[in-house]
Amino acid sequence: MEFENIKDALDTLLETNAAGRFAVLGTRKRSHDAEVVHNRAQVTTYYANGDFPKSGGSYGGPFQHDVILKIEFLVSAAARADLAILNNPQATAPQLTAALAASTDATAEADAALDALVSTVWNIIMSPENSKLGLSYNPQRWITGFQKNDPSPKGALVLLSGSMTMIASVLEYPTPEVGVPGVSVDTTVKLTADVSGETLDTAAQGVKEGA
Amino acid sequence: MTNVRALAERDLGHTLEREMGIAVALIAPDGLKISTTNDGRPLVGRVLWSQPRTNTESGEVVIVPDPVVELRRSSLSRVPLTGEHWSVIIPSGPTAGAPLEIYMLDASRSLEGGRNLGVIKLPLQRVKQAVP
Repeated sequence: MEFENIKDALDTLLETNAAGRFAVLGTRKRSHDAEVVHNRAQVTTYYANGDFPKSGGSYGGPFQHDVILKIEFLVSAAARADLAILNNPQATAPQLTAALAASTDATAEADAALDALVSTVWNIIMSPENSKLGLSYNPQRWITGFQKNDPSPKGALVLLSGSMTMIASVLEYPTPEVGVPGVSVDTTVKLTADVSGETLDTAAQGVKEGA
Repeated sequence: MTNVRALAERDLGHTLEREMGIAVALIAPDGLKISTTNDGRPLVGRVLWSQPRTNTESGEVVIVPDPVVELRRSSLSRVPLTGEHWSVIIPSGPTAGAPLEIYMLDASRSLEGGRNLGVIKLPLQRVKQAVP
């Protein structure tokens, strides 16, 4: 169905524009290992819901399909501080105080990383030049909302996830299921006698039929 | 007459600070570096580098890097409080001569109990270089 093409087009669009900032795991199972996510944020897309409004189609089709796709985000972050100061045995107390006061914890870093990732993906999808998502028609894509989840400490790192909802509208053309063609058997049957046992004489039959 | 709490606190000198103790150092928010106890001994405690966690998807128990330091409160000249920004320096492993690693005290998690028994448990976060 056409919604599958929408999802594939979205994956391709995001992969093309990711530029190493995130990994698009469209059909593969994403990793929940904080270490893996820490190396690269993850974006997962999937078809979540679909509506077929009765007013949007005729009896024989095509049928309007309002597609709802979910785009899930997963980031992982560590705390940040000025390590050059904290690791320096010669650092003075005021320098250490300033370095600690300026440090940020992993939850805040994860929050900032997720905000940046959402901004990046939103800009990719909603850019005017990407309005067709790479398809030959305009699917009327639209980001309707974003939901951020609670941070989840995973060992010395913090995982944070969120999801974005994208809607699109496509026309579905029903295609009949194509059966499997049977195996053709090519054979020649030579009848030399009919059920009565009489010998067939095709030439003679022709004469009879013509008579 | 010594009560049970006092006995438990005294035992920490054996369970946390004897031969198996790992040397650690703290940097307080005011820049004070704490690497010795109140009575001048090297500051040591129990360091757990990894913890068992249950994978909520599969149900299996996995070991994840989740460093935690347990110290005897009475040995500290200043005790970390929840929400404060402390730095904690620990060896990267339990072997002798292991290089030191710096962590931040996880300010988003409460410092787990042990108040009555005299232990303070410090959950740590990995730290990366801040972007100037």
